[in-house]
Amino acid sequence: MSQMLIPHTPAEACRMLAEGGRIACAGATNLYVDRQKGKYTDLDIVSLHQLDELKHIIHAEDGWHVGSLVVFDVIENKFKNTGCMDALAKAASEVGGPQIRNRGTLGGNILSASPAADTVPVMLVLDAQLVLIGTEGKRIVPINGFMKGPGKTGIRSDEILTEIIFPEKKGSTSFRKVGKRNALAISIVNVAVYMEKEAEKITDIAIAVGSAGPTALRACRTEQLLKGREIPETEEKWQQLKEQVCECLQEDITPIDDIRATASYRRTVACNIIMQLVRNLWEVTEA
Amino acid sequence: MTKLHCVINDEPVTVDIPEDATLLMILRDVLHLTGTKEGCGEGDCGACTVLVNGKSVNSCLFPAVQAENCCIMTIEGVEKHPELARVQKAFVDYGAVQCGFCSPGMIMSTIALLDKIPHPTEAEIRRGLSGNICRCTGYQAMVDAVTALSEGKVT
Repeated sequence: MSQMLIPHTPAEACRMLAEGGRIACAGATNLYVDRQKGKYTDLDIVSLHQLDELKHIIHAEDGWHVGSLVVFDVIENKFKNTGCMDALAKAASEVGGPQIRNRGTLGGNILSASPAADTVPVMLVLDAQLVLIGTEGKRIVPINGFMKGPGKTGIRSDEILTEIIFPEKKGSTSFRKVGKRNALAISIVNVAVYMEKEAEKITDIAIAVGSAGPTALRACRTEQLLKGREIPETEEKWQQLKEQVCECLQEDITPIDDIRATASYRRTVACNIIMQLVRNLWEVTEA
Repeated sequence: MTKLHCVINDEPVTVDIPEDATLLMILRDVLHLTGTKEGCGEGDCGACTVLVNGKSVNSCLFPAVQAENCCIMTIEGVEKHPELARVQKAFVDYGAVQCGFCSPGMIMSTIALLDKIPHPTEAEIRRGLSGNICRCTGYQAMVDAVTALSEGKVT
């Protein structure tokens, strides 16, 4: 049986974790599944549920500050139709089912480090910054580069994630998930796109793909291909662009075969969704 | 062992629990409230759904210590509640119960849904119940039951 430790301040949580042999727990929607399967049962649990200072959503001058313990249901309701944060609401709305969305947290989605995590691609395209505190102080790191592999991130053993900062951005975002069914399905592929454009030219673009590599990742080559482009004028040119995007994307992603889908299916679907989201954002006329 | 203080179905409860126990384990094995079912034990099927402070949760993944000072409602509480018992009646009237294993969880999700959206569309009903899996009915009977409830057709 694991011991349950309940800190009352973030600093106390860090001190508890620094002792070693302990794991932090938020909504437990991943941890208790893993424990059912025999993982982490030798570790004591530091349950963060009483840390109300990690449950905030604040709009500051430098952007949105979202506490790591904010649950998906709250994210969905708060950010729906809120500029470029809309894709975060969309991704949060497609996690698990209602019961999971009442319990699962944004911080947990990052730190569980599933390659299929739905909100991570959105955070990657929005250049989210992670605020971590440990026994030796606070640091702020970009989410780009923080995800290291399945179940692995750059967090240190004495650290907790306190908030996620979304810098103010003027562009638009979009998100789509493909799974075997609409609810309670782990993504086969998910994609987030951020776009800025002037007239009909893409001036800035970010694309992130989940479930197509050891972590969700930015499709940097594909972004370079699309940046600075004028909108295709004919269907034929759209088709040509799609072929170029597909070719380029294949070097960006490294999907594998697993129980949910084959690598080749993921490659095809990732390309199709990227083109769909890019085209939607590109063609929409700004209000 | 540690002590858990909470309110379950409107009654204050203090109970000794293993520290890492799930809420489901406490409800069923310690308090013998066996209306709440365990299906998958992994948060996929929703059979263990209960309300914690009015929000639907999978009790199989809910660390019991996190329920300290919370108000919990299980299917046993619904039965005693004149208004909420209509939800059970609607499920029976519309044939939304076959083997019955998913019914307690399905009914708890219905209560959470109607609390949030009193007059849901069909799409909202399907989304509201999407965290509960039923292997008998094909779901249409549940949608009909919830629609009837929201239209005040169940007395």
